[in-house]
Amino acid sequence: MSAGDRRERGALEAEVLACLAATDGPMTARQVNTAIVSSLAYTTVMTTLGRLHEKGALVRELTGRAYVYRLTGDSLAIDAAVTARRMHKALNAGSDRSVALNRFVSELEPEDERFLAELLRQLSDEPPPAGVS
Amino acid sequence: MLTFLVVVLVSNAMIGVTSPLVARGLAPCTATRLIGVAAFVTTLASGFVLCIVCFDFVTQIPTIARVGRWSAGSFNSDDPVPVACGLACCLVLLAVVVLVIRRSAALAGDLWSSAAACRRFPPFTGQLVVVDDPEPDAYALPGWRGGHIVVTSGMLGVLDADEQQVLLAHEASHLRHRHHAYVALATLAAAANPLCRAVPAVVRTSAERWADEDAAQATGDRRLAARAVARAGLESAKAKRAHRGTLALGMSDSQVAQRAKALMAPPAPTRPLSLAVAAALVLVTMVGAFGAALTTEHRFERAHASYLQQ
Repeated sequence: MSAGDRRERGALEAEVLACLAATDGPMTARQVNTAIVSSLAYTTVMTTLGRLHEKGALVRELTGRAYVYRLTGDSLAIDAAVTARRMHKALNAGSDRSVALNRFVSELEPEDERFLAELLRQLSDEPPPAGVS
Repeated sequence: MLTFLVVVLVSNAMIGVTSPLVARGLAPCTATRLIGVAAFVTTLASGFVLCIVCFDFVTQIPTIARVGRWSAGSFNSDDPVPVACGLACCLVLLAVVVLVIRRSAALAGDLWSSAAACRRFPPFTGQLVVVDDPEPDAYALPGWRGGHIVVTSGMLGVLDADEQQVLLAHEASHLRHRHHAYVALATLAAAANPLCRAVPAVVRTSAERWADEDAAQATGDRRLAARAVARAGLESAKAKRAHRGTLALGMSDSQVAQRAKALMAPPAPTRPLSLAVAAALVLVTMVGAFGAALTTEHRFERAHASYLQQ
């Protein structure tokens, strides 16, 4: 039960971080809540943001009556970013065939590219998602 | 004895050769686990029987038989291993041992460098690490404590919030179900037996499909998952082409398109025939290995008894 909760919490934190990383400027809890479409309570997002701030992953400032959050820029995160980039370079230079590596997408044949573009066009005709791009 | 070796080797090879077909009839999670483990276990069994044959061959030599207090005459009277055959088996065994040791070292190196990278991330980063890089890319790095998901800012930029959720669920599934372990087993099997060389790619593809299915379930929307896979594939191909001018052919496999196609269809049920074929091959191999062990034990008991009578 508690392990499940922790996993949930980890997934939520990852989602919130991804959302902030995808946006340029700082965001309020309300904006984050609208951006991550999963039907979460506003308070859950607030708690998650608070927790990430405590861990040092986010910095926040009070603007008006609400906090705005952004990713810890170059202070603490730089270590992670440098490590990740080095890893990234090593992986790109090496083959995709490392056992440790599960890439989300591999390379495409031109005909697959056409197929995927057509598929995306079809799927985009559906009602658009309620998220931000 | 050689009959057992042939039986075990043939069923081991059958697992390797039929794996792409068998995988098509299985749910991705079953295919990953079953084919990865079956290839490894049957290869292990073939190695075991090969060791027995080599041992039988070596102990047939009169000098060695005397040291072990066995009657060499008794060995030679019942089903001896022909000299050419025995020599060939010993050479093959030697080659297999060298290949497996080399591949194991490479695998251990891969996993170690991945775990080392994970350890270097500061504790607050959580599971997700965002790399500031315009080229869309994402991967899971297994580590001792669950590992990390590495995503570039370029990838986050091309996906909308829903699609990002698919990506994160997909990579989290890789880490949660330890997909790299099944790939490692398959890679070792392929290193030991060239007839299993198709297996690692089959297990890899099945693991990707498994993670896709998990992501579709987590978001509750198969079409959304298909969209995320398609968009990520297209955008990273576009970025790579802009980067290099041309797409490097030969490295590509049509995985991404196949995965998107599979997500557009309802989940395929497991076909009992595929399951039965895989299970039968594993069973035959196990029976063969067990038979070889029993026969050899029996043979040595008799050789020892006739030594004492002499």
